[in-house]
Amino acid sequence: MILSFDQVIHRYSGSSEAIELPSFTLSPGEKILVIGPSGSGKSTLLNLVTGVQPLQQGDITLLEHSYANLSARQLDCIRADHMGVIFQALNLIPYLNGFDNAQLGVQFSNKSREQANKSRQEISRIGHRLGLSDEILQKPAQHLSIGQQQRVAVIRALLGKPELIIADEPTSALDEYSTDRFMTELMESLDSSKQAVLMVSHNPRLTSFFDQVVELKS
Amino acid sequence: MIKLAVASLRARWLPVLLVLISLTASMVMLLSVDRIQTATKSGFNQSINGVDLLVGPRSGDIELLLYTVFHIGKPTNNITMQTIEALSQRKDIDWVVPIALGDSHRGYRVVATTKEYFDKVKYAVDKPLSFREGSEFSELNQVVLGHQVALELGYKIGSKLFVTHGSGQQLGRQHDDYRFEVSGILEPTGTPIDKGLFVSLEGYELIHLGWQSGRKIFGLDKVDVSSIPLDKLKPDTVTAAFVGLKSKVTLFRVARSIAEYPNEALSALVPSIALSELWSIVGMVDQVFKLLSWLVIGIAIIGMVTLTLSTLDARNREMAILRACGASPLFVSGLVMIESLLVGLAAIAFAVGFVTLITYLAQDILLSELGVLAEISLLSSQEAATLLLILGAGLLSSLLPAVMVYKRSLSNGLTRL
Repeated sequence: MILSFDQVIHRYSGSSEAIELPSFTLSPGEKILVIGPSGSGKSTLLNLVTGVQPLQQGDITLLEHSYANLSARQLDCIRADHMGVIFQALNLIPYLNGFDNAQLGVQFSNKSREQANKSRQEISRIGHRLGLSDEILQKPAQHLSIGQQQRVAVIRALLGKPELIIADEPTSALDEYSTDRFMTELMESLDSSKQAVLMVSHNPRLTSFFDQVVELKS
Repeated sequence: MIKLAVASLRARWLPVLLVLISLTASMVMLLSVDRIQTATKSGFNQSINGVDLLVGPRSGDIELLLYTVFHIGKPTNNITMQTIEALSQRKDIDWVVPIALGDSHRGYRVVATTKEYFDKVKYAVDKPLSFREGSEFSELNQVVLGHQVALELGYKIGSKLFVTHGSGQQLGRQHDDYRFEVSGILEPTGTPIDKGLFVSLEGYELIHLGWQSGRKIFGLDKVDVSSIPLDKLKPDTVTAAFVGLKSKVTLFRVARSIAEYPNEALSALVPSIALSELWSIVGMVDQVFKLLSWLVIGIAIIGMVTLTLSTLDARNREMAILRACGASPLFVSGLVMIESLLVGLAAIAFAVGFVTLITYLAQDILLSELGVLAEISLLSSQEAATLLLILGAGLLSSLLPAVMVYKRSLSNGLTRL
């Protein structure tokens, strides 16, 4: 098992309201889609899984590391070593080129830092599979189209083969055609690398790409 | 982290450049004021060197220093040559160089002295006087010019000039019956020596032969100068004397005994002590300039912090991406501080380079216009300490945005950033 999300309850600061998130588990290579309307806790769930927001109640376990027993620094290391994150938009640092943006994924990981020297060829290889030439990857991120930026973000997430890919509505800025193409390319890449994915979206059309769907109530 | 910080700064090059310019400009101002102050102070304190005691008629120390060294003001009295000779014969005194003051040439003071003046009187740290052209006077009608006199008045070796009686340029007070010829021009010293004209005591006595109570009675053009025996031109009195001792240990004892000289009322002062006293009065202006420079630096640092704070919101996404990639809040806030550090270091490098270049280019102008001998050096330890202090202050100020970034990294999730 890669990830276990168990009876997590989160209270927002300055509010008496609490949100109870559904429990689920994620196995190697498995794909889970979390869907729900705005305000249902999708972002909270992602922040908790990535360890950016502290766990208040319940437990999250990633590769047998219980978040309840980990410090913030250890959670940063877990995120660097075992997770790849794709945002819905503005995924890249605008002043870095495609290669440098993609390489950020391995910069902070102890596990894949040794592979950093080899990562350029790896970025090139994944890039070609996703339809990005080296020429495109040399361009500063601000000169890439949204679709190209999303694919660079995918390279960054996949690089170093982290066990879990977290994707926060990565297709929300894409049209229907680009969404299908992007999802197909992403899933093919994940299938070949046996990486698990936890994606958040409000688009029910994407359910066909996933093994399991977790629905959040408003 | 440094590569990322450099890339980030390059991406915001225009505001960063403006902050860099303002920080560099303020550092240049501080360094320049500091260097000019140091050069002025050291030039001032080393206006005279190699002289252990200044001996003159009984007067205030500052007054004696002003007219003998800086050629400012008028001597109130003279001392007799008998006293000078008595001083020369003392066993604890090595040498005595008498000087007579009073005349001038186009605003520059004439100093009548002996040839030993050029050997014994030094400047800066034991630097002997040297001739740029020509040599010391050997004839009655020869004059040696300080560097600035020759430069400003365009005199060369062999140029002829008249001396004016007194320090003004009143009509009828010219010693226009006897011309001096330039025999030598001194190298620049950055001291009042550059503004002096040096003639022999005998030559000085000669031009005053026909004068009584400040008025010309007869002109030298009616006299066969060559027929006057040299010993008749020995002055009876001089304005003051520079004294060198055989042993510095006896300095205060000799000074006290000269001050208690029974035959004549004398003052004997230690030049370095009197110079320090004088500097404590005139050096206040530099402190004001220094204070202003620090204020400018403070404003530049505030500008740097404002730039960082104003771009913080726009950089939230950048911070979120770094956090998502595994960067700790400490790394993200450290990035902000590294950027400030790089801007500060760049400003220091530019400022030091600029000030060194300016010092090199303006060395001659500073010497000729202000009499300041600015030495070219990359960075003194005191300057390095000052710049490190500024860098530290800049880093300390960048703590505010860094702490803000740190807090946001903790409180905001990846998606809310």
